[in-house]
Amino acid sequence: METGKVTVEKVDGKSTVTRCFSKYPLKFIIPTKVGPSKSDAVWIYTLTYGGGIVSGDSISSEFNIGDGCTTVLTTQASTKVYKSLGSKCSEQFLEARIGRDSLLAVIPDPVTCFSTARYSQKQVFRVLSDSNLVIVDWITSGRHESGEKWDFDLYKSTNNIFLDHDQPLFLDTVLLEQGNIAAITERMRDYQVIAMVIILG
Amino acid sequence: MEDDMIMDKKRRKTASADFLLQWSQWQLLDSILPTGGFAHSFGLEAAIQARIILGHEDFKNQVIHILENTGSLLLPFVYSATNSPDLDTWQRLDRILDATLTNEVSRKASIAQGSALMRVAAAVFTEVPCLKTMRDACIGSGAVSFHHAPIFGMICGLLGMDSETSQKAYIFITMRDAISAATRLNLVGPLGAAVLQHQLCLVAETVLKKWMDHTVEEACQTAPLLDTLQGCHSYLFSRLFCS
Repeated sequence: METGKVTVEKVDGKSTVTRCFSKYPLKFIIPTKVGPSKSDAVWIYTLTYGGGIVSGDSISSEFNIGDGCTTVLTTQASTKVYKSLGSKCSEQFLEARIGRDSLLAVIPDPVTCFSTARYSQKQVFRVLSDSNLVIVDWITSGRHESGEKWDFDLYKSTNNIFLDHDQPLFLDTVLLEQGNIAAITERMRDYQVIAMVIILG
Repeated sequence: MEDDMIMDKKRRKTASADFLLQWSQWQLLDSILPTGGFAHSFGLEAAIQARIILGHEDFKNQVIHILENTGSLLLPFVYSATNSPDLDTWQRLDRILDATLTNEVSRKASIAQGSALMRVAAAVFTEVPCLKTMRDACIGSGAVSFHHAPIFGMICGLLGMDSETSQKAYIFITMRDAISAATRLNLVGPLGAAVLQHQLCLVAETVLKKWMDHTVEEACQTAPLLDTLQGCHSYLFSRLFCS
């Protein structure tokens, strides 16, 4: 059962949200005065109750961006993933369908995993040949002010883009797991944040 | 008596097939096989120029990260190709790997090495005629990019190797080529390189045991910094290696 679903379609020549559903722990806020009034874009902010993702949470959302529409998906603040209780993994799943001549920009704040957190996210985008995408996927080392640098147990992020339903265009999974071969800190050296930006179209 | 003769003939036939497999295996893993592996540094050259590698300890850790990233990202392709070394599987794995190698430098390196390996294998292992027929069918058709890992796995499968050996072999050639690149980059001398390679056997075995026999859907990168560094290789003003 999905935790969230949003549909954006062209109504009277403007990108409009025609369907919006969300349930605990997910919430959508869709303010109408974010961008300049001349630009046609829907801004969707995703929030979690409590300001973060708790151990064992499972959030899945579906977005349908109709032909000719522009949608921005972002967050209010960084996505905090709290410590894992009993080795439970929290997960987020997002699936988006982008129509002809449409643009979906996924530009959230980074993910910050607290010490011992276990988190997995998967984002699947289904595009057509003239769809446009901007995706930013980034993670910080944790609460580094408190000395937590790459101190979480597991972080996995998958971004898959399929063309015309099933042709793989871009398949990427990053797995950072505290393991016996090389600690995450060793692999990341002195870097405290890593980001991936995908621009398509 | 006749049963004994048939059993004996069978045993001799399997024995001679085993001999052929062993000689072929050793030839496939020998660095003298002209597959152009010597032209790639696995991001070591970029790491040196980016001042990530400053000494021997950094270099050793970098090789360990290379091995683990190879295990997590590429072993699934070797595994699947060895288990079903046929045209359809090869084309499917190649397409998936093309979408998975998002780092353009490593993508091109994979294609260069894969094409060379396929060409050599088709010419050398004439007892497996389908290597040549598959290559001829795909070359120029654009259906296949000739990525390295699936081709390596497929050749191993067609030669009769089991999937554990082929995956171990892939880790071996990665370790071999990375350390060889390091000697040419003056990170370590030839004797030191040989010592290091032997010291890393335990790590290589751990990587193999951890990442073998996974499906391609589970393929992932475990060293994103390494991937980013390798991607910078094409920006280097002066460079010895292709990648």
